Amino acid sequence: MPDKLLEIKDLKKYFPTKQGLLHAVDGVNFDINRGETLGLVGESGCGKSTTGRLLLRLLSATGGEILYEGEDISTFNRKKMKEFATKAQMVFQDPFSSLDPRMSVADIIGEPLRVNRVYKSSKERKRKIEEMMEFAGIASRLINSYPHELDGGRRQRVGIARALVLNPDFLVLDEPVSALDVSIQAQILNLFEDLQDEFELTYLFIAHDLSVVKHVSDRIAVMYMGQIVEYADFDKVIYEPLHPYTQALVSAIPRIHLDDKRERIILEGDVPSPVNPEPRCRFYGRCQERKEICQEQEATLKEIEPGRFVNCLLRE
Amino acid sequence: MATEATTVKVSAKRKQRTKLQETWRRLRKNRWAMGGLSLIIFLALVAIFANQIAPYGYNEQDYLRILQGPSRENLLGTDNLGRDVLSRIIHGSRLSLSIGFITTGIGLTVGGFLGALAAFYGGRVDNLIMRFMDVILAIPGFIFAIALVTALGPSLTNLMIAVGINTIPYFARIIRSSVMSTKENEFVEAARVIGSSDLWIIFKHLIPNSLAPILVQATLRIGDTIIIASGLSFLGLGAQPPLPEWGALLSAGRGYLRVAWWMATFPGIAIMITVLAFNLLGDGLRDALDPRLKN
Amino acid sequence: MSANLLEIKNLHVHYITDDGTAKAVNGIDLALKPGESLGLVGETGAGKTTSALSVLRLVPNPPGKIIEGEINFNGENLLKKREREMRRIRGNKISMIFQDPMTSLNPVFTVGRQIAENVALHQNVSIKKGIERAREMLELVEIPGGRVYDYPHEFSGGMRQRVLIAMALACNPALIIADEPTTALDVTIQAQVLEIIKGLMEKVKTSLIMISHDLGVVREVSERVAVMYAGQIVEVGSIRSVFQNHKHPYTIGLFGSIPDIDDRESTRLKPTPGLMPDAMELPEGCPFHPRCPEAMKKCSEETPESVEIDERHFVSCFLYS
Repeated sequence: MPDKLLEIKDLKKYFPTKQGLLHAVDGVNFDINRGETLGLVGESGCGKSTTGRLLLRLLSATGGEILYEGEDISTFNRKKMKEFATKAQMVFQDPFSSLDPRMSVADIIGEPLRVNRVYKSSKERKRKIEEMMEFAGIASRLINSYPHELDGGRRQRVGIARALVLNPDFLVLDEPVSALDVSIQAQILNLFEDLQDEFELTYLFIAHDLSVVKHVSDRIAVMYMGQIVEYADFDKVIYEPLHPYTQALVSAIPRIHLDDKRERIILEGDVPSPVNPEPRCRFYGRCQERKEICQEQEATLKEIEPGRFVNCLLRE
Repeated sequence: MATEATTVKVSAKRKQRTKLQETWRRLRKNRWAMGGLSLIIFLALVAIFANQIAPYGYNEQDYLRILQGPSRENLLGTDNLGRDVLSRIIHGSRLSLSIGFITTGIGLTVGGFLGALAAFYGGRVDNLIMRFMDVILAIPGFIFAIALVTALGPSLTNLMIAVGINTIPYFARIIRSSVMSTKENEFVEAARVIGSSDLWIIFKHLIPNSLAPILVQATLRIGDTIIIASGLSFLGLGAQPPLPEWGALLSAGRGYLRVAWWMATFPGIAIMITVLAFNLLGDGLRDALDPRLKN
Repeated sequence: MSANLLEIKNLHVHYITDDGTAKAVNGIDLALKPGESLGLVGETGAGKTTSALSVLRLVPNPPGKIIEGEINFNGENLLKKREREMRRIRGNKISMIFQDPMTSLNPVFTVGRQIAENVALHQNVSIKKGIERAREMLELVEIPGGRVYDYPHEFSGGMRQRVLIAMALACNPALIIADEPTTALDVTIQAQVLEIIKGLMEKVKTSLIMISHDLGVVREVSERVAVMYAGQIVEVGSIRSVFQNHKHPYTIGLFGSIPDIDDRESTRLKPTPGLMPDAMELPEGCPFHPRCPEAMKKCSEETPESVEIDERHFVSCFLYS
């Protein structure tokens, strides 16, 4: 029996807009085991970042439950929330806007310690900051630098050090490498792997790029229009995808292998707006296999074999 | 672990500048702004060392020398009580500058805080605060100040309160829009994730990052408040005799314009130069802080 | 062998600022045949966009300045042309597609009008004729022709990028330069746009320079690929030759950085450590030598010449000279 760190049950987040209710996250179920990396993949507007923010209670859910170590985080009071902050942290997408330009590297990494009053003396705090810089691969001479003096990769390392300084168990990584160049991206991906081994971390790795996620994930959940369409071990999702959307997503990745003879599935049209969605399969409009039944009822996520979940009426 | 340890050194470091140094560098290139700044520094020094510089005390009367024109003993002449006009202007610079700084300070702190609150919480809080600011703005500043000073009684303190309140909405508006755009940055969310309180976020992150436009506004406002305060004093609602506030000097000189032009003219010039200096500096700061004009 | 449509010879472009001189492009040589498509690959700051803008003479000046070199287009040196002559070439013989489809279109005019004006300007036809042409072009990129009367905001991101492609093609240019045209798009939309570009390359006889940081994207639409590093082309050759047999240590590191979805063994990525040098302080000799795992003494002293290691496959590295 795997040790479940997080259980997400029927999670919903709706935003009121002028056109109607935007169903950003609409009935999402998954869990994250201690020590694993769950990749959460989808295109822009699918609700993946909103889900990540809901897990840390940066947003409050419209419905559903998020259990962290068995406790519903929506019931946490102020004190409990502070405690939660030391266990669950986040690394952001944009290495430019996620660091306060007026704070030095030491101030940024030390801020969680000050806010949570972890150390009494500034000397101890400084020692911890230096230790974290070393773990994150930031040269110690940069301790008094300001973010604008650093390149994107180094800034992202500072963001990672900030997230780790409270010794958390769980990290939400919100597209942490998508703003970086490939070689820097690879350096940071390797760093995430090393840190996971070192600190026994659990990751929710949010990305729009399946190939990035594949490298770090144990399991992958694919989102489309606020719902999870497929959710299984990474090799199942990538090499034997079942949901038509996952199949298209996998086939759409530009390959670097010359002998790649894979049939490309080109989806028609754009992602429809998640405002007041119709009660049918969310993928109906773009699906190449759609049938009558798909527009008569909503599809739900079903376990079709142990540990493998698919949200498709045609695969049940 | 330390992946960067393998990084090779890339020649000598280029000169790194903080944002402040960068602003200063650009400001220094602007002659008008530097002129304004020099004038302000000069005025500040005059105000600080007024007792040492001024040839006479501000209320030192010499009945043998009434309404004398500029001369070697009294460079800018004397007034109807035989007081040295230059000395009164020098002593008055203290009053006028403090009025400028204190009233702007009131507007900045109160308005800044209210504006930051409005931007941070949005919704109803925002509406409540900003509509109240609109109400203050709807009353012409000068009339508002007159009403307030009349109600509280004419004195220098009440004058500063009145003018200060009057500047609050300007700062509230500027800080609000500035904080609103700062709020969009992910570092605000990052601060929340680490467990920061709202006040910590407002004071540690939002306000410091919204200071640039405020600095400009504050500089320009100092000039404006000096004018308003002088105007009120001119009407007799501010500094009371024998205090040598510049507006009051102007007012006193008004009656003698035909016989002793120097009594009103020199305080008027002092006001003009001071306000001009602040405006020049403010405009220069605005250009220096605007990254779009960066070259 | 047919003549080259475009020949860039020893191009140097610098940005001269108060803080110093950024050497963005440092002596690149590049040749493109009519109808050929070339992918220009490199990381941020490698000089890809500056090279492309130089071809159109659109490098912002100041601070940018083309220091030396030749850009021959149809045998004429573009760097010698007057501004007025350049205006007749831009958008007509050479057109450009930019990365951001949101800001490249004017929101207050219909897309049909924007395409038509470009056509009318260059081909001396009426706006009405231009609109007809716009309709044709939209259909070419699989947008219903009736949408010429729609405004940019009525199109989605992927559709807007297609409108820009239609606009770029409207005057039958001999060369299109596409600067990261799919970077801002989602994967499935990117696949749509790439499919359209591929189809068009077969239909219209246009040369294409595709700038991208993504080797996979370049592979989809190009026949040849040039890899840039610190303002130089370190390796250039046919897609097949470079992808199968990359020789330059930087190219090897670049391929080692890409998460490869087809590689079932989850091996660790093998990126080159370190960062690209600042264009203001390029190292002496080969710009890659400080990061190069194979660096020799010579590398820090001299700049390597480019060597042909296979048919039209060139590498600038002392390992092969």
